[in-house]
Amino acid sequence: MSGSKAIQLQGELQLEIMRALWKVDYAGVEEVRRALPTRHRGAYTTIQTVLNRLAERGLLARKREGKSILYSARVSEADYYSRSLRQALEKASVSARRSALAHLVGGMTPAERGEMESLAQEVAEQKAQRPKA
Amino acid sequence: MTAALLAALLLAGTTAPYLLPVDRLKPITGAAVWLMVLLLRATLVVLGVFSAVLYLPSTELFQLATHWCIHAVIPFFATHLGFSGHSVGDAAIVLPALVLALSAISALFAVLRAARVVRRWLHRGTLGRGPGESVIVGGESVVVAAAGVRGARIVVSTGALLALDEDELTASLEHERGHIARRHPYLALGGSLACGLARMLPGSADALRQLHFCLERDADEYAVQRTGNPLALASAICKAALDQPDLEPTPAIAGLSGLGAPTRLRFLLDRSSASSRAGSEYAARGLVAFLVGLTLLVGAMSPTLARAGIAAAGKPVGQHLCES
Repeated sequence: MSGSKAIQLQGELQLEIMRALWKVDYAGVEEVRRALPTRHRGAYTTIQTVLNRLAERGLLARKREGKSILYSARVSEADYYSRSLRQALEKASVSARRSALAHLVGGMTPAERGEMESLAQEVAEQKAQRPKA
Repeated sequence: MTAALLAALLLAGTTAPYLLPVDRLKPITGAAVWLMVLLLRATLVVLGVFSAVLYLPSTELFQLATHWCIHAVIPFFATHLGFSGHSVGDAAIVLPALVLALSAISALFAVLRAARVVRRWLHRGTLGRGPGESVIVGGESVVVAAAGVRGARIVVSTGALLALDEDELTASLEHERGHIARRHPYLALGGSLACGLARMLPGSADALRQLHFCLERDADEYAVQRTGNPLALASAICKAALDQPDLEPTPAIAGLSGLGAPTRLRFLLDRSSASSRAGSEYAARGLVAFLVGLTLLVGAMSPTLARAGIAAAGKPVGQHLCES
């Protein structure tokens, strides 16, 4: 389980940043950093990098105000939790769903899930050993 | 003699893929093999149904077993539904054709319905443009998908945009781009329709799963070629897979552990296992050519077999009692 937990860390920080921005209209890097829970309150530049990354992905909007850049959420909290494509296709048969939707992974049996958890740990270990570019 | 030879060739054609070391093939070659197996199976079923309709009535055993009149078996309903004057044998002949037609219609309908749901969803449910010409859809689960058959689009869920790091997202998008660039939705559609027709033959559903697995692996290889980072794709697959709810084990899929995501992960983690062997590759390509030839041969022989069947069915079998 620790493997899957390790590979979720980045996602957790991004989600915390989105949560902070869902509470305000526009916020600068320092305001976002202060709004984060202590364990996710990283360096200013780390938060700035993640904010820019989220903006590039289409989740945040940026606007310049004086010398600073302000960020706001383009996707609301309701949108984030809204019904996904997978749920929309739930009633379609497996084969029809697969023809209409080729996705990263298909369904898994509980046995495969257990196997995936140990493989996730292996992936996390290999990623940790890999030198940063 | 010809029929026996044809039957032997068909048996060889449908069993040979199971003897191939599929792990040692290029994924697209594997997909071609399984797609041809499905097409051959569908052709066989169609041929089988034609044979049943044309040949069965002229056999004595069939006449003996089904000589009762429908109005004698179900007196009231047969008269009202217009079946009076037909034998049970007539219904037995029509039944396989009916099952085949319903299978084809239901498979086609299911795919069209799913494609319509996707189209509508993309029209109404998208939240904006995402990275790499993708569109963003709601949902906290990690979903990155190539959606639709014609004019497929890459969709990314808000959950995926938050959970995946830069390398993982790039690799996932390349994986989906691979599905679109290599026309996988069309191959999957062809496989699904053929499987719908061949549903009554055991092993067809497994052949379809093998086809999908090969297509996923082909998209994996496309992404690895583009990004040079198999680990990032493996990590994205882990996140997407562990985010999924457990499936109830069913007899159809319980025995298939190792077919899906875990096997793909092993290919990504151990790149030496992902390279194909020249001998196996040539054998598989030869098999694809053989299966194409066999399917065309069976298709071309159908009119001859049908004519022979009609001639056999035209032989006097005596007036049926129900018609008197």
